[in-house]
Amino acid sequence: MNENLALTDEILLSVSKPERYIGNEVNSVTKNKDDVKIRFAFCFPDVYEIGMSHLGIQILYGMFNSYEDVWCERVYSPWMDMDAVMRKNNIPLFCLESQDPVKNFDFLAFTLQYELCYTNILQVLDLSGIPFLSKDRTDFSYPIVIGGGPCTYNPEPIADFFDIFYIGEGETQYRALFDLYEKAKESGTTKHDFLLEVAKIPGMYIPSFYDVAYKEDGTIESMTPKYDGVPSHISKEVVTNLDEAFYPTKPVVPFIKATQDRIVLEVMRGCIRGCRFCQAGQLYRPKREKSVEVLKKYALEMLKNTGYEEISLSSLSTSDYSQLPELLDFLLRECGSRHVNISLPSLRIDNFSLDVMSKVQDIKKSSLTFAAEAGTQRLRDVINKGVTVEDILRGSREAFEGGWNKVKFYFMLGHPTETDEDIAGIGEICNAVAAEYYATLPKEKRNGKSIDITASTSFFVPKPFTPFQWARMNTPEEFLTKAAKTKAGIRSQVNQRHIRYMWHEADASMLEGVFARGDRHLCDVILKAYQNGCVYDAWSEYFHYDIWLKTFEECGVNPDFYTVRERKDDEIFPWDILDCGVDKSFLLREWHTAQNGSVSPNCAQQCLGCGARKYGVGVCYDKKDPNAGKSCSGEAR
Amino acid sequence: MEKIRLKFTKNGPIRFIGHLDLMRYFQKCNRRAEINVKYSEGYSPHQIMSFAEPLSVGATSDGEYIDIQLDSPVDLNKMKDDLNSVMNEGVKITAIEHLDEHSQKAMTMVDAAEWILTFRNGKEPCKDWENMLMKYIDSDKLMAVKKSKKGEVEIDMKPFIYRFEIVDRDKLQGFSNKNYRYEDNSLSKDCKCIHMLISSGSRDHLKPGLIIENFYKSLGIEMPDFVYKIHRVDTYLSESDDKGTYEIPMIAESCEKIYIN
Repeated sequence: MNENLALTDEILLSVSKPERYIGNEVNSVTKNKDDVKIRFAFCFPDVYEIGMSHLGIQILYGMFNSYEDVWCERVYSPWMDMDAVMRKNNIPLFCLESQDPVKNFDFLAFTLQYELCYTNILQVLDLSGIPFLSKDRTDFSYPIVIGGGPCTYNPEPIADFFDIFYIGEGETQYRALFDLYEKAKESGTTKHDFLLEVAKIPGMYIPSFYDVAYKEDGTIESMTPKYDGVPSHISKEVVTNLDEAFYPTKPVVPFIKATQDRIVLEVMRGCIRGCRFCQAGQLYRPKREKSVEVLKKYALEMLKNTGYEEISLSSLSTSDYSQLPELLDFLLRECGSRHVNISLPSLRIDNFSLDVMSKVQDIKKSSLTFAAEAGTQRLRDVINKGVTVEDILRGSREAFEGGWNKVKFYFMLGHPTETDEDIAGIGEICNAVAAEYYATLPKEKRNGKSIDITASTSFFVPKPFTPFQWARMNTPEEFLTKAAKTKAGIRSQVNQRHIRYMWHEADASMLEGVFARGDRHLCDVILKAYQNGCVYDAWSEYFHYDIWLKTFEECGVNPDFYTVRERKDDEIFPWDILDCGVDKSFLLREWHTAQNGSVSPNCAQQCLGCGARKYGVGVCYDKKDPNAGKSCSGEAR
Repeated sequence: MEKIRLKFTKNGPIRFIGHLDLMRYFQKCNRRAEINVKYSEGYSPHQIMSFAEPLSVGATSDGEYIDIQLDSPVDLNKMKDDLNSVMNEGVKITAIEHLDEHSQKAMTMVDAAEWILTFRNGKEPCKDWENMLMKYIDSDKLMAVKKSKKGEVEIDMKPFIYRFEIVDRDKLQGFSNKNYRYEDNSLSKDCKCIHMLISSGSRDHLKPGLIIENFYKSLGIEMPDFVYKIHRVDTYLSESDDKGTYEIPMIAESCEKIYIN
């Protein structure tokens, strides 16, 4: 137990949720600082409850602490009340385990899970007393600032703040980085020379080592290495055998309720589906499974080590896990006797999943979720979402017969080629499902209940390394008009009384769109916006769109350049220097196929030659079955 | 069915864990230690347990209690060891006992609590505060306004103060358990401890802070925030024998009865 807290009782008792700052959670790791060579601070730049829900940090935290020479600790964004107290009292930001200032660590790593956390990175640097810009941290007197996670697949908007971006899965190259760091510290090399060596480690992108030239129209002319030995492209790192990779069977268990307050059992990485809007579906290719024996072992160990009352299977599409029936059978047996619930996100709705669901959850409380994503078959073909109205109606019918009466629909507005007809289709699907309820269940079987449908729409943000990376994004005004049309479409339905409609904020989506496909000109904007008071942009109560717009103007940067501009086929993107395993030529083929309204087969049916086969593992080497996974109809939650 | 009462500590950084989170913490500990806790019926069953009295966030304690129902009999020492092996260091099970099947819930039995309050460094109200506080306590009546959900009521605190003393930390003994020592190393040995046994529980609940607050008032000063540290020594229930009514810790290992007139 670490008795010494960085904050006084007076401070801890005057802020909300002091548990966010005291560490000492079950399974957190404390080492003697004199016994380690590397102090590693791992940051999720958002509030504690969000950060503690993230599997990636738990994996790397456990793995780093399994190294004798490394002590990895955690740090999260202080909530706004604590932010104010720390500034007022000049208290430097500290890590939870040792309660020591972040500034004294060897590494400060950020996991970058969404674009709207960018100002929080600056908050963490600021409160730590670490200069914002990599160029102002010339020696080892500050931690090496490193970023990882999905947003590093286009890290250009935050390139100036980081020394290193780690591209790909963290399990593979950190050991090499640590060895190099220890050697550099012993031999007394400069930080610059150290980074030159780091650049030779696969997956390491040192943004300051590249010259970026722009064309007159503002697009990229070229990105070229400044020094010999610095690679012209950086390929993502991939774990080739997930069964042998480190998995945290003793994850840190927070005292307060985290957003994901359960055991997370990752069953596989990657997805075979190839939905054209989905970035994760491309970034984590190829699909690789863990063996069911390994998962059973992990599940038992984690139940014993955490005491959680719920276990959740995690992947991008759990129904595609080949050993699912065996795994669920096992979990039903083991969890039942322990009073542990099983949560099953990302399951297709079919007889199998409905049967499992009825065993693990209260039908009265749970709802079916259909990620339909678009309102008409034409548009679903464009986005390559292989779900049909017939699938949805059949799944609903089976569910209604099984006792369910709550249905949730997820749609996106703003897909390429979208028309008013597609928007009207959203209301029509909802109505058809409601009608199906009344047709399936005669009045005496409804037990006085009626159908309860929730439709929610988010706004589509084109992302790098997807077939839609060339697409024009809608403006906030267009989004709001589309949301209004969606609402009117729903309200014109016969069963509209039973349909609730919810939509996201358009302004935040716009900013996300700017950062997603942004370039280095945005570093200035983000820094100025932070200095103008922007932080916690992902939280609507702290999002200041007006300040952002003012800051874009102040910096002479036009946000429309990044969002509403449709890219030419041959445009060089800021992220082209990175290789996520999927070739640009494949993505372009898919972009054209999308515009023809044609679907593409998934990885289990037929190989489209995306490029991920070069990793030598996963679904690319399975036997293809042209009928595989044809009944994709939604999800059960 | 088996009913068990546990006595536990809440010290160190864990003092900032709120009551509901502590409950969730215990549920997880029970699962980690594979204790055969009895679950309620229904679709979302929960572990059947009951805390004696919530401790305010920031306070430490050597005398918290929780009652747990089990499915089958257990070896008490083994259960205590099993739980301690999965507990965070600040929380430690210090005693365990069987309860009668028909015994009341822990919460409804609490009648008094033994507290130690210490002024934080430099936050003492005035120079000669020890004498002035003892003089204040000796008054015939100790009127105070008690705030509750129903509103404000004026009460006399005097009859609810059963024992009251000010002693150096290294000379402090428990009122009931004479072997009790206050081991808070952040405090000096001669730190003056305000040590009291006062009414608690659902009936005539008296917060120790209310006494200090009104002491300040008697001095004509408004009490600032965070002036004292607060520590619970033990939680008591009330029983009687032929000599009268007495207070006794909820698990009474090597404890003396404290008779209340």
